[in-house]
Amino acid sequence: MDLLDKKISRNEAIAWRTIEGEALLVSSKDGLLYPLNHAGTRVWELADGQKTCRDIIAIIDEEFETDTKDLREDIFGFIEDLIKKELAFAA
Amino acid sequence: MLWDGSNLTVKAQVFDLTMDFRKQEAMITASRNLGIVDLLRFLTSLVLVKRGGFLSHASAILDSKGRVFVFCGPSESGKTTIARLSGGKTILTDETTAIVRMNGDFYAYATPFAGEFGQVEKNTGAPIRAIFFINKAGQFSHGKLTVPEAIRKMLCSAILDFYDAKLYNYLFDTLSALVKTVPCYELRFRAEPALWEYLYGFIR
Repeated sequence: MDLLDKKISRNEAIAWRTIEGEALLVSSKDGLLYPLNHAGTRVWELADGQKTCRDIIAIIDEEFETDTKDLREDIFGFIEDLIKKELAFAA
Repeated sequence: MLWDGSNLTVKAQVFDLTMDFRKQEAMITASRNLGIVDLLRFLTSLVLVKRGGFLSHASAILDSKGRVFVFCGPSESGKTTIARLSGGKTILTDETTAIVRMNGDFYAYATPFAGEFGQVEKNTGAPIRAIFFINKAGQFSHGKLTVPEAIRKMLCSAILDFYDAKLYNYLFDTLSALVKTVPCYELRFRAEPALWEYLYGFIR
């Protein structure tokens, strides 16, 4: 199945908090800190295991009032990164 | 390592540890003579985080008004240099500061985990007046940190050599409260006694 149609969920073993609108994650794998910007934070919050990658991209598109291919590609790349770093899972 | 919220089990190469936080008891079985200071620091860091505090790579200086100035930074950033410039103030530590929350206020305490200065002058603590993230430089300058900036920097200087999401979330909550209560600054400084004059220029 294409990543776009997979449900995205946060890795429950990741410590994180949203501080003044920006999430800060601590990786369970290497202890590295990952500060997220506003769009990244929104993606992170939406990764609840119920929404697909496609759903998340559509919501961000709407909320950030943009409709650009670049943004969609950025969000897709960001979700791919989260999965690669084991900060989130796709199922 | 296993952590279920009240019991900790560590199986390392040279020691096994079981710790019961409720009973405040720990049992360590070691196959050789361990660096007991490192082990104690490890345990102290866990206990403090669980209790709403933490250990920090920081020097801490107590002034005559009973306020502590905390200087955080990695090795070579100037923690010991600042302790040397204390000018008669009390050096709580030049290496590892215990930060503890009591009745809503944050206090800094001396620890036995000494740096170049060796043993602490006084086994005591006091309310924290300000926290600085230090760098040696040719000139004095400073900037106030935003809450997210301060939390990121504080997290980097916190000592917690054990990953557990629950513990890190405790730490996040402590740091959030700390940086909202205590002003945090980036400080570039020259290694000279004028440091305190400079600090008292903006910290009353």
